[in-house]
Amino acid sequence: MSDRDAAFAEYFAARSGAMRGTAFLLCGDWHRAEDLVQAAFTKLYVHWNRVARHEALDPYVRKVLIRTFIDDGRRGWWRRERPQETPVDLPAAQAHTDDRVVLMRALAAVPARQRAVLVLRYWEDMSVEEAARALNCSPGTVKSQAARGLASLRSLVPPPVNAE
Amino acid sequence: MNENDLREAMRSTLVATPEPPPMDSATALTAGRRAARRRMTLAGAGAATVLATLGIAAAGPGLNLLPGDHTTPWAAPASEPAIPLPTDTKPSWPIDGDGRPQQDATARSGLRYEQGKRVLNGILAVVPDGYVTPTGNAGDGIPLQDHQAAVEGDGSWGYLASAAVAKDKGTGRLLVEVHTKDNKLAKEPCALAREFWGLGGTCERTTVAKATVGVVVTPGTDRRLDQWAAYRYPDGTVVFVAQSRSATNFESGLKPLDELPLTVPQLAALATDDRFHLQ
Repeated sequence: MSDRDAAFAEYFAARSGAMRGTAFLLCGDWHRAEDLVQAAFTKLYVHWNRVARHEALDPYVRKVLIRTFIDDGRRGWWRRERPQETPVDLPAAQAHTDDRVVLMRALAAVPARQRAVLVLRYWEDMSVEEAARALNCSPGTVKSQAARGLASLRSLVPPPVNAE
Repeated sequence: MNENDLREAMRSTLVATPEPPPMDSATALTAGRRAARRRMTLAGAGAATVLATLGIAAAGPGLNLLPGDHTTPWAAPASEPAIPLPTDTKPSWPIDGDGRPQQDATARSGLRYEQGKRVLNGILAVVPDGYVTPTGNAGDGIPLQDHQAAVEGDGSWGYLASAAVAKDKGTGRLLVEVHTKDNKLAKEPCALAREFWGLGGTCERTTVAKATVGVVVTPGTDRRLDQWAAYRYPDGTVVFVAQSRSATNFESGLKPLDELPLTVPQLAALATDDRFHLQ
């Protein structure tokens, strides 16, 4: 195994799980989340030398992940299922499962770019500027999309949200 | 809900949701290597094309362009990456309308792309009287009119188009999916209909002229579509025609139609309409 392959495999083992979690919050489906992660890491491998030299692995993978997710929303959506109708990936019947189902349904109802902003800002804890760079838009757009996304969630999720 | 509520809800959701086993590094590595090889292949093919265009490659090995090197034609190193490695069995994407290989399964120009557009135009031509066809995007970002041509895993092509149809403040959609004749879809009309998108449902066989069409009149638990008809031409071409009260698979933000736009016989007849019999 070459140095590049070894470093890539090590990075994949360390970070693919976290990236898959982010992808799951975006799409609500573990299978699709893994597809998104695979697509992002495949691009990373191709550009490994350039990206690794700048120690920008996480931002690069996250950016590709988000853009692939948004692009998928524009293309090939024909056969895609509604996340709220695919409960197989959601927790088995347990106490308070409903809250989590409600959240995933509500997130699924938020337009893709707004959902991406919400996940980057409040799951990845990115600053407005970092999220803007990841989404290739202005900080003002991130702020307005985050506000709209939260407003949409408020209208979709009955208060209080108690997922535990 | 405020920011902290959302953070906590996302955290709890991920913690409580059963996670699949970790992804395999070896699989990711294989996919990465394959993509890198394909990239090299395309770069090599591109270079070879440029050289061929310039007439250099066509000059053959008899022409030595490098001073002091009388054994190697100049074009040879550039075209070497075009030779796939023995381990790379994955086929390249088809050539797109611009003469370059497609970036993925979807055609973005050329004959196949135009066939997808033709399906959309076909839908717009058969929208029943009293309905309008809005354009733009729904609230979930999905286009209200769209078309796509994509090569399938078996080498056949799928042409897909969807158009929103609106009436009395309600918006639903008509959708057509055509598979070219070398597809591997089911032969029996109702098996074919139930196979569509894996939706299942209650199917009836109906006859249109001499054609037998499978029509799912009641969907199963998956309610992305309300009704659809499936017809396989004798040459193997398959046409699905579907309708739904809602405008998209997601949350369009649009009020659904009160009634479906087409009757079952109309839906079945459209599946046999020659305008969708495409190659």
